Amino acid sequence: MTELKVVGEKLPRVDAREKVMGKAVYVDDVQLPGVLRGKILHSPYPHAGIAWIDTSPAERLPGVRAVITAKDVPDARHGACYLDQPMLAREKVRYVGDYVAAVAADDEETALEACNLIEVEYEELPTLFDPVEAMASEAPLIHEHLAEYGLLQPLARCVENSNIHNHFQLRKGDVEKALGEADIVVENRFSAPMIQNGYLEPFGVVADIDGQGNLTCWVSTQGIRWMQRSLQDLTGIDRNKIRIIVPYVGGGFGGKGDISAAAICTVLAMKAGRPVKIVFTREEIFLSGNNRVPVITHLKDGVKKDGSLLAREVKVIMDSGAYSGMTSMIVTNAGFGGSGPYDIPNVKIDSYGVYTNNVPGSAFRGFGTPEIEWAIESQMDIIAEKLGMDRIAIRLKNIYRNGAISATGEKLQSVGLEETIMKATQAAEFNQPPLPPAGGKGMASAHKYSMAPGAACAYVEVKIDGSLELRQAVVELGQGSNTVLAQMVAEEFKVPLEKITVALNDTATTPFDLMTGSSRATYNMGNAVRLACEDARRQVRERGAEILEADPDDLIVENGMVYVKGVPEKSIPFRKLFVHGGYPLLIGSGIFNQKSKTVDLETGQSERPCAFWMYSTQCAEVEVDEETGQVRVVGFTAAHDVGKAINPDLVVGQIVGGVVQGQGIALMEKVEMENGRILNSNFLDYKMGTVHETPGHIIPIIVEEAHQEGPYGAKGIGEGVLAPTAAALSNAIYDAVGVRIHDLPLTPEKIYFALKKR
Amino acid sequence: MEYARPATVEEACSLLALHGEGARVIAGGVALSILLKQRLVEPDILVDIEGIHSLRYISDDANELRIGALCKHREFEKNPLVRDKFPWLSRAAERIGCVQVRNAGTVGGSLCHADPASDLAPPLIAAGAEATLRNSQGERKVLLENFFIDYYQTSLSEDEILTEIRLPRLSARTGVSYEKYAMREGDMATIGAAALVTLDDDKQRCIEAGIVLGAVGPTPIRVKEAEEALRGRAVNESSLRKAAAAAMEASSPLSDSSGSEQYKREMVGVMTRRAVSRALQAAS
Ligand SMILES: Cc1cc2nc3c(=O)[nH]c(=O)nc-3n(C[C@H](O)[C@H](O)[C@H](O)COP(=O)(O)OP(=O)(O)OC[C@H]3O[C@@H](n4cnc5c(N)ncnc54)[C@H](O)[C@@H]3O)c2cc1C
Repeated sequence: MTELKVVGEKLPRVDAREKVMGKAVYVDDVQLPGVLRGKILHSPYPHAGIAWIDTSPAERLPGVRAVITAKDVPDARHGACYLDQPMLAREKVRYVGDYVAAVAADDEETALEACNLIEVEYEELPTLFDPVEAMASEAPLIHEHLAEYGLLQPLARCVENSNIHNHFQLRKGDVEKALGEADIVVENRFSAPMIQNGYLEPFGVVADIDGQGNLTCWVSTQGIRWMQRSLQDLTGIDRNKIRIIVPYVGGGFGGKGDISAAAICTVLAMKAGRPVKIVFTREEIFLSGNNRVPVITHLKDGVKKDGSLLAREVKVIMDSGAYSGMTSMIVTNAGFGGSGPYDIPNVKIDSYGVYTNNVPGSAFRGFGTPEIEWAIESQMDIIAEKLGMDRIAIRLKNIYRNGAISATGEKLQSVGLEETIMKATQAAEFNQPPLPPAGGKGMASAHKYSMAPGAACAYVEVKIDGSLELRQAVVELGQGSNTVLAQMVAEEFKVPLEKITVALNDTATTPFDLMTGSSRATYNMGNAVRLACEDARRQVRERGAEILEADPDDLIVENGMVYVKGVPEKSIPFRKLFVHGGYPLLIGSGIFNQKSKTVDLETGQSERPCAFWMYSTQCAEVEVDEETGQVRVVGFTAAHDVGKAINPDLVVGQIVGGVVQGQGIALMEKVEMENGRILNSNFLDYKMGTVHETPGHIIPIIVEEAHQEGPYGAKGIGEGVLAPTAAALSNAIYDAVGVRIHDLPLTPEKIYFALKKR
Repeated sequence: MEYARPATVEEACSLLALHGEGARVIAGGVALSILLKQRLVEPDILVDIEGIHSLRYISDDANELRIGALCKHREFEKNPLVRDKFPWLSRAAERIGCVQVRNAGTVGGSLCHADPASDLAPPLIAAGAEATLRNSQGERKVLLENFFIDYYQTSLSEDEILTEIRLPRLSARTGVSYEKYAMREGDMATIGAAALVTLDDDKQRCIEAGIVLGAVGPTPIRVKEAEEALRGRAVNESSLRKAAAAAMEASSPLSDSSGSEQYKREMVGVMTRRAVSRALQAAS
């Protein structure tokens, strides 16, 4: 491998300056002349038929330009897996917050007032708020026509005439038999509640329709092409007439991009004949149903006296609320790794996605994995204690290593797990005693898949001045993708990073990318970018060969110049390539399509269910106030195997940010719901960790176990960081005061009462 | 909605007298702007008193500390006089919200808003503070202890403005402390507990005590039974336990996302103990 010059360097972010100066543009900054403000009317009932809607009082209010209900829009539905969600409720509402009608008016106040004037007659229906009750065969149906819905993901299987929209199963070996042969069997139930993504920038959309009927939609979303496709399905506008522009997005964590709202905004703009903007309030973000899906995990493990895991039986229940959103996919994808990063001969996994009348849950950084790893890594410590075994040793005894065959039958490569355990525990001085009197240390290891199949495409344009423009559609959400991808272009052309510009995300100019999620950008788009660079370099060499009268294969491309190998003094600048022979355009393109291998629906077996796996180990150190149950996080050590850090500073940013976020999730975050109604839909009542709660210190450690197919060996980082955090903290609390909490969050109250019972 | 920005107390008072119920005083606006946004309050006129510069002072007379109603939390958190002579008060102010809230919010606003979770009310009541209220007719004084009536209700009448808080100079061998329990630093108190302890000449017995709870009832709660458990006795494990039990008994917390009623009551006990112990340390 040639020496790397830009990749692997700690370079400042390419977007740092404009963000620090407050010049970066977000959706709300888009100002169009004559723009109206849109507002959505939400359902006050968790489950009710809609008898009639009278919009006329709203229409009469001065300043109101358009009012719409389901009867004004095509009878169509959207979803990531099942097409189960209409943009505006038809016949019935399924949760408190469901979208019932919408208004466009001269200003937000008027739009809000008009919404309140709309009269709706509801007829209440029986409700379901407990996913376990909703799974029962006699439970009332929330979606009567589930089996008839269109399905975008072939891996999802619903249970007909039930509220179960996906049941994933994995079978390896004979779990029943192995449990019988085990020295001990350990059974536990854990849960993780609904939480909110809590990004800074509220969701926003601006829709504008020109004289030819072309729609331009500025929207904050993580799934540009999915948004485009859904808008076609929901509004009936041809896809080639839909242009989606995504400026900077102020955080997403899996929850950015409200498709119904974007479609509503579009229909309002059509009806009003003027552009319309919708920007959510914080309360609406909670109601929009992009919260993290709550998860219940049952584990039953058979273990031998020496600590080796013989069998693991896992049952996972995900309460997706009224619509399946991403949850059906989460059920399957999280199912692949649902037995943890351990080599276990007998595995049985059943994971379910269930409808209830709760506010919908969907994707959140980690796509189901952190919730399940929380259970598994708590369980590993419970087992270690029962066997009187060291917590590091029991993990080392069972972990995946290179060449291991995974629970789905995949031969694993690039497994840096052991190194993360060794490095994290060493840096955390895990075996040194904790602080007296009530200090404790805990660890947890995890793995996280990145989804496949999925395509990523890129264009790289060589400019006459020797600079390069990258056009691709990974959304810059703050994670640093623009910087990492630009570094790759700079590396491929051996130019400084300043020579690269990254184009705005715009379906008119940037090619297809599946979505910004599943920690897939660096690996998938990175590969597409390298292919596009290779294609562009080939063209540079071909044109250069004509001028230099040499064989293209003998040419070197470097620093905006081309020369024959060994004769750099006779180099020509890129400008010559454009002038000579009159070729004013030079664009390379790259398509990377990560394939997966067929998944057997009965056994979940697949030799390649996903693109790659990321591995991690975190150690937490805490101090518990035994009089109050309050926890102070003294420190965190987090070792993450990323394959190759394209920009180590950005990896560290992901690790530190993830630990801080994960700590808040573990200790305090919970969307409180009562009969389907959210009680804390604002940042005063919904508690997230703040700067005051950050750990005393965080030690980030980068492990680089190269992936053969990754660009420069790179895998990913984003979601992996959250996977072990909650369990590491809970295990530390147990170490400190002997209290084991099974249900997140780990609130002082739970710890206090558990201490009293101790 | 109209908006007025008087420059003097007299002007402000006559605006209030003129508009009666329809008028609402706004100081830093930290609390009121939320109520306005949620449309829980819809006044005809906002009387912005922040332009009345004469209400923004901290002064130390021979016998008392005087705080103008428009004094910002941040100001007396940082004020050298307060830090030196009333360190417990600047420590209580330090615990209010975040720096932004402390830079904008005023002492008067915090008290008149009458959120039972105010961090200032309990220690000020424990230390015997008095409030000065003004209207166009004149002024009256009320003990802060008697100022609070119910959730978000005070004994201020429609046409009155709170202008000043006076804090008597504490007698020798007196310690005051305020303990705050909150889910996160910067949150409103889940439980507040203030304690005042005055020791006798030999520092053996407690001769005066004040125990005031915040956030666990409709108003700050002065717990006379807890004070009696301390007054006239040596402060030891047994009297501490009695005081804490009395405080728990007097509190009426509500279950919410920061804790159940039962847990909060237990924490009232813990915070009371901690407050008394710290006040005792400060007194010795
Ligand atoms: C995010 C956040 C966090 C907070 N955290 C804390 C905390 O940790 N601890 C804490 O104690 N408080 C906290 N608060 C509350 C806040 O500190 C107080 O409510 C604030 O100090 C009020 O002062 P203000 O000047 O902004 O009052 P305003 O909002 O202007 O007024 C509040 C009320 O008092 C009335 N009023 C104001 N001044 C006078 C006057 N001189 N005479 C008569 N009536 C008057 C107004 O009419 C209004 O009803 C927090 C608030 C927020 C928004």
